[in-house]
Amino acid sequence: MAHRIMIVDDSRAMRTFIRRVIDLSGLAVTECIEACNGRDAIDKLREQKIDAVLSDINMPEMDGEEMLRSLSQDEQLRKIPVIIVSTDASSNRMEQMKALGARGYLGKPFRPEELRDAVEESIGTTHD
Amino acid sequence: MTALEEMFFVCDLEECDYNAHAPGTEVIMRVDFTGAPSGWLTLRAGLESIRTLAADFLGEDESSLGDPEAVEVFAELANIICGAVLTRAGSDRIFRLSSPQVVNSEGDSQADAAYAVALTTGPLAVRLQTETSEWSFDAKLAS
Repeated sequence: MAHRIMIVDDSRAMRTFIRRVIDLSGLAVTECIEACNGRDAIDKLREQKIDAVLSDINMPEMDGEEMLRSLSQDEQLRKIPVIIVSTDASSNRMEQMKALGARGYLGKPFRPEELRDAVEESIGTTHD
Repeated sequence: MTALEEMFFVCDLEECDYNAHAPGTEVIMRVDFTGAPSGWLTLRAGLESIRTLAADFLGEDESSLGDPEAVEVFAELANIICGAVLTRAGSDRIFRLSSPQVVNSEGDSQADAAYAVALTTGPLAVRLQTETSEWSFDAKLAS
């Protein structure tokens, strides 16, 4: 089954890179939608169906933490799995993000298959 | 460096002299971090190397990339390396990383760790310094 993935990062370069890694990973994706911060992501999530969100933490206007808090308070949007993609892969940070509702956590640097596995695990599918 | 291999698709890196410099213009990117301890990391490379790294990262042709785009990717690399170094040095600690900034100098004081690898067009040099020197960083923690 092909998925619609949202990439949330204030860095255009990082969004382009994640798109590239998704292509390389073999993940079945029909479309990648981009958002430049948590606020932008929530606005777009209300407008279209998204299967999983890959999000940075440190972003202007609304960061990843605040976005997770907002999503957890929304009856519909809380069902969408969010995978945090961050340079900070400390165990405390991972636990903190998962406590806020993150379904997965990917520390940079990461390999394409790690991204694929994190997305599939969060959605509940497996790679053939 | 894992970051270069996994995200910039650069292989077979060899350590080189940290004090070596790339020909032409060099860019120094600095990432400040706060936590226990606080400090900063700098990443230095020649603009030619940065263009090549950016093209590999984005999967785009080098000739199609402008210098601002290449430097934006270099900022990402600095951020990734800083996060990886801090995570490996203390995986149970939480740090806050600031946005990477281009600076004119790597700093004069003694670094806690300094390390460089040879790219085809010059060195990529990493330098890490903390305010307290609380940790003894392995110079190759960025590996």
